[in-house]
Amino acid sequence: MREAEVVVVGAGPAGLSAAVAAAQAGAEVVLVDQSLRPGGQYFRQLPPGFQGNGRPDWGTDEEKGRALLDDLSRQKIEILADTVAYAMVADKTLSLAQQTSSFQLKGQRLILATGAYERPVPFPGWTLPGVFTAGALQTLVKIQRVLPGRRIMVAGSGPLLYVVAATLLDAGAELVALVEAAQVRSGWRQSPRLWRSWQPLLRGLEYLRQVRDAGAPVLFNHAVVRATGDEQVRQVTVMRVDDTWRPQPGSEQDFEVDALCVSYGFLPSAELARLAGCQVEYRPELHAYVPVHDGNMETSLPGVFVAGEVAGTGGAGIAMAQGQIAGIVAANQLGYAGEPGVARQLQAARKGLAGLERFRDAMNETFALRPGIWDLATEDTIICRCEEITKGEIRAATQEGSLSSREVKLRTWAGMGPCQGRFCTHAILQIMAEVTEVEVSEIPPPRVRPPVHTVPVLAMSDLLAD
Amino acid sequence: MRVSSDKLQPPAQRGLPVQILVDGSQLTAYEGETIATALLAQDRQVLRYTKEGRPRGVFCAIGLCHECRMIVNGQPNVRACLTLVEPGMQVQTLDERSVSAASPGSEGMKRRTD
Repeated sequence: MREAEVVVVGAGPAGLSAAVAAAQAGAEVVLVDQSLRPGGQYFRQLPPGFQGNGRPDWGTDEEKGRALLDDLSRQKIEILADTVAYAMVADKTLSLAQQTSSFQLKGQRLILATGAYERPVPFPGWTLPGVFTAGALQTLVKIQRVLPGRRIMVAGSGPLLYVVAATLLDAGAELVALVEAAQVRSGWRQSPRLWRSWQPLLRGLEYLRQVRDAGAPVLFNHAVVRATGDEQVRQVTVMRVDDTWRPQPGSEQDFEVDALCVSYGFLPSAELARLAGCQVEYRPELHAYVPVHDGNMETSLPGVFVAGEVAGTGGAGIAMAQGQIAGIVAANQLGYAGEPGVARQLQAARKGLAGLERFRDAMNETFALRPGIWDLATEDTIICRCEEITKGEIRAATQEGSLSSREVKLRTWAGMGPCQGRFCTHAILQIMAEVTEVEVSEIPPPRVRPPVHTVPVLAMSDLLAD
Repeated sequence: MRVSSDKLQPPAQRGLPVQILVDGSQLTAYEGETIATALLAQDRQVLRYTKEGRPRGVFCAIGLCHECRMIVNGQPNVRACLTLVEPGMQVQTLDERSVSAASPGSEGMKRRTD
């Protein structure tokens, strides 16, 4: 088993910031990342063979991203790229897989910056090829420079929709429509906090202007209720929704598309934190379980930190500030008091974080998920994509007395496929809550079990040997 | 379709051409592209058929949903969204209808409690 002073998992904005901050304070740092090149989803770098032309890849955060990657190369940080942290075998000890081999790595301090993924909302036709998450299209266009068709619709709710719509237009796609379930305009008016953070707000308005200039319809208070097509999506039905996001009868509009992307916010990738035994809490404003942490980003387990999206959706700015705080505090705990500059850095990060959090809270309020969205799935809509389990099957299992999420999982097999329940558990809990007439927060999700990522069986020999 | 370098902001150049074989047909891809990109560039969306015969394609594009699994150089369940093309790579549609016919055990277990 290998050991290091500070081990950081994830090389996105939070993980990079944490690794750099801890190293600058003097700690020995190992940074573990799944990708070939650091950056995460937000600062994702072009693949080998591709060349940019020096123009910004990451919009207004270009300078921050470049600075972080420069700092990373300047510090003595060991980067374990193409490496999957798939299990937690003991206190602060990870099982790591590289291709078909594996080894264990113990950190005296462990910082989990494992990010988030998009929260899928099931609706009839959502499993058809040509229906993507919005993040998928952002990645395909920005990093792989490919469009999955010409006529593309962007739908769902949240800030990401506007970013993706602008990206698609830049790439030459025909934006069929931008469909937003929330009543965004009144949300902006109701949230004076937003006006204090004028920079990101202006950016959002700029994206919206770009969409309008392109002549694409912008439909607020609307949602995609159905995607149809034989082998792939061809037609999308959109309906007006009320304040609870329930479709209003008689408001159907059909659109012909080559592709559809849908996004309803994010779910934290908290699998490793939960496996470690970090306490999680249901955060109603995020509709998600988030590891409990203090102002130092330390979890309920001493010496284990979280930073970035895994600690609650907030965007790259918050992720970088949280990463910095976690990195500095972790190093401090190991006796690296750091130079006076480090203390100033910590203070600045805390101050910056407070402002960013006000903006985040206002955004979460504006785009808060409403319960009607869970009614889009009909009885025969697939909820668990991997095992092809429908809403009706999950409802029946609950009605027949499977009252814990674990029982429903064992009975229906929903959540047992290769995505390991990432894309269905939240929807299953919603269905169970509806059937049993309780709040969704009262139904605990099934336990997380290793491996939390699919790795070759050969690579798991260390788990089998224990 | 591939985004032409003059259209996309910022523009970027692809790597060198790479020939791969998809379900027996030659396909030109470029170094740095994933299998998913090479297929989406040809407007091909369907990468897999489920046990119940439903078509599936790329969904999350970051390796988490596992919907884009294909057979690559004879190895099943390879994620097309993460796997970069290599010269001579042989890619096949994963048809799980034939897989479940060969090993009906899982279906039997699943239905046991119904």
